[in-house]
Amino acid sequence: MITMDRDTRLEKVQEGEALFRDKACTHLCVAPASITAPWLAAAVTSLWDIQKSGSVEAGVGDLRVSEETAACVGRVLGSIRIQWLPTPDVVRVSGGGVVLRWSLDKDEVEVAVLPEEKVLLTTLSAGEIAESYELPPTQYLRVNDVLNSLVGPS
Amino acid sequence: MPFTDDPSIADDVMLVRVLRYASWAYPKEQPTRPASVAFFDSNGENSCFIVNEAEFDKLAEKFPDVKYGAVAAGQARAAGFYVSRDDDGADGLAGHVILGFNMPDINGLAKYRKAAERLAKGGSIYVPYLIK
Repeated sequence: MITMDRDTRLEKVQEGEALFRDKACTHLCVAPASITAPWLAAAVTSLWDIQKSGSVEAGVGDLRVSEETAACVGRVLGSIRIQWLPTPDVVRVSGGGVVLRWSLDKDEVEVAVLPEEKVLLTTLSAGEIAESYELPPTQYLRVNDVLNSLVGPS
Repeated sequence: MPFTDDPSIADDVMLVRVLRYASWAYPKEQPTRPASVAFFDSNGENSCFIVNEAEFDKLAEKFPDVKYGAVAAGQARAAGFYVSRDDDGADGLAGHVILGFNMPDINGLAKYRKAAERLAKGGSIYVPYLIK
């Protein structure tokens, strides 16, 4: 199951008409994510496809992505507050990890989510790694800063 | 038992990684080398094969239409990886080795990511000759 953090869901509610608290959840369930962030719907769909497939393949590695890791990817995605972004590539890595990559011109932002909630944020320029550091769960919002730098002021 | 570098695998020995997905090759449209994600196994243990020992007909049966990313053992070592035989690890497929990375305690994941990038950039696409 893929989850996003509560703040993101509340933002989506607040963008629509005023709702009573008890109806908000229903409203969220039927509102497509693409209304608020087109890239997010594509990313979540790709993540879902990756999570429901994959097996242990001798000679390649363990290509399964656990629910916990997919949920962690969901939390990273849910922490992003930027509406307009390029659709990220969602790439499986062996050993149960997922890499999200946003590319614009020669710049890239990459978030690798590995099992046990290990998250690595990497920025690349012209194919060279500019920065790479681990993100603890309390700092997923920092992805917004680097993505803002990627797309520039909106 | 943990894997360690096997010096009997000389630096000029060519190794291939099965590029299981199109996204594991770079660039996607017309790949010229493996992508860094191909050498970024979450456990730090990337399954590879020694070119001169691999049975490419069997690999082709198992993984039809895949590309292979090639690196020399010496390139892998220079990037910070170890190369270790793992005869039992590939379901009977010959020439299986682990191209592994021991993650340091400090900034280990970032260092692994940089090592994977360095290795991938020195790699190429290997096309095996198969008799049909």
